[in-house]
Amino acid sequence: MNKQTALFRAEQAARLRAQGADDFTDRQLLQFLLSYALPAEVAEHRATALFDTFGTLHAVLTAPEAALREQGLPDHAALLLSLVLQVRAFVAEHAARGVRRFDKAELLGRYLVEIYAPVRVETVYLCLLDAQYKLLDTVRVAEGSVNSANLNIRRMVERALEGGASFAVVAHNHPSGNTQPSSQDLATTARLHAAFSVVGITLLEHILVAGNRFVPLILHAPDPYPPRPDFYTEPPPAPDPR
Amino acid sequence: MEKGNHPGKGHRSRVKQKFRAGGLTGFLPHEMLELLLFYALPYKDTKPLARRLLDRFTSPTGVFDATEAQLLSVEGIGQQTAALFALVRHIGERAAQMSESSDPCYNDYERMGEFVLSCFEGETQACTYLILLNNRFQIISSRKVFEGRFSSAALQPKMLVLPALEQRASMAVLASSHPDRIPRPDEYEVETTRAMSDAFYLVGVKLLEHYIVSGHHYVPISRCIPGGLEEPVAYDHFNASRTIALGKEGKP
Repeated sequence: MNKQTALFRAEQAARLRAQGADDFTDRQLLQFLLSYALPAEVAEHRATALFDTFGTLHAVLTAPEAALREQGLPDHAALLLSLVLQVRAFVAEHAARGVRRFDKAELLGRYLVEIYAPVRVETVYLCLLDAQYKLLDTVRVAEGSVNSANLNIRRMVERALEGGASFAVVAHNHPSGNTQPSSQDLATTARLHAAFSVVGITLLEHILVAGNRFVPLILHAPDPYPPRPDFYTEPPPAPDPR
Repeated sequence: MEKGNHPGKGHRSRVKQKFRAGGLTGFLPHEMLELLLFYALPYKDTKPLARRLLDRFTSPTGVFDATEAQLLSVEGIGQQTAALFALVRHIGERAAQMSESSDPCYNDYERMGEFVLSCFEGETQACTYLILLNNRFQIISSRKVFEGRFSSAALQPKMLVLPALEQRASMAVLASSHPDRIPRPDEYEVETTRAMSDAFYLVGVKLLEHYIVSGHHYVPISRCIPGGLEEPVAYDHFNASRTIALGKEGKP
């Protein structure tokens, strides 16, 4: 670390302590963060260039690594950027584990939106809950293009049994941002529900996450499995009628 | 200690490699903290420090919720390290708020194309989707409005215009599938699109594009219309009563 960088960081740390984060613009916060991976004067140029290219802080933090490398950002610095939202999701997950009760679909939906914030490809998560709706574990079970054909349902059921779960919630995301469930999504729900019920575990919901929204699929396509009414406070906004 | 040759070097690159491969999935809390501490403490073994943090604050949440004074009371945490924790928390919060307040804009032909393809996943029959947008190009809704060929006489402008008005849309995008054919519009489809575009124009909704989709490919129909969809043309093929009815509405 060169002298200027040390000076810059000390100044900014003092400013953050005295004025709080509200005193910083998004670009200044990014510059401060990058100074932990780059010399201060380079961090300044990079922060500006990243904003010019990606537009918002959120877009910078979720940019693919290849795009960041194209911007001339060393891997070391790119990793720090992608770490921010990952750490946020990690902290949310650990805060929830074994403590929080997820007895409403709404709570799980909002939790899953956090978990999916740094995820850019289609990914399936399995949330395991005990009989008191406490979260036992959140497991990533599949990645890439997901449909019931290449989803290892047996492995998911095994995982739920190993975890001692009473309830399971399956979640997947649409990176395109489309909140409309596909017919495959609904077919997968039916298969999962049947497979879990064989071993006495109730699939409470199959939640589709698209950007910052989520759709509980069992509530919206209840046939042939009726949703549990006590799991919903009020019906969330319906997806667009077909 | 000499730069680039400290004892923890191999360990650091292994941890980073693990992160690159699968994100923080499978990381233990102290490993996550270690990875972050690499950035604050370039040449130190960060594992004991990560452990001390967890001993003191019990969980990752505890560490990130700790005040600066509490962090500084842990041996080995200096002001710059404490500031890094605060930074990661503040930036994460800001970015998350941002994604909540701003839905993505679909003002880009390719990006809308991706969205359109995702609508047709699992569809096997010819059908048409209507995607409605507000004036900032954010999607209000997408729905299947018609099953069958787009050029079918059964497809009425009303079926597209009414939802657009109900949902107070400023702009609309159409997408029709050709499950059995190459993604190329025929002349009837071009003609029908033109008629729909005019119908939308009459009620103040702009039809941005009509995508013709087949499998994972799409083409924009506006390429097949001279002048594109930007300039709504003839009203002559609309019946007079329709125009009059709209005129009445305009003057209550």
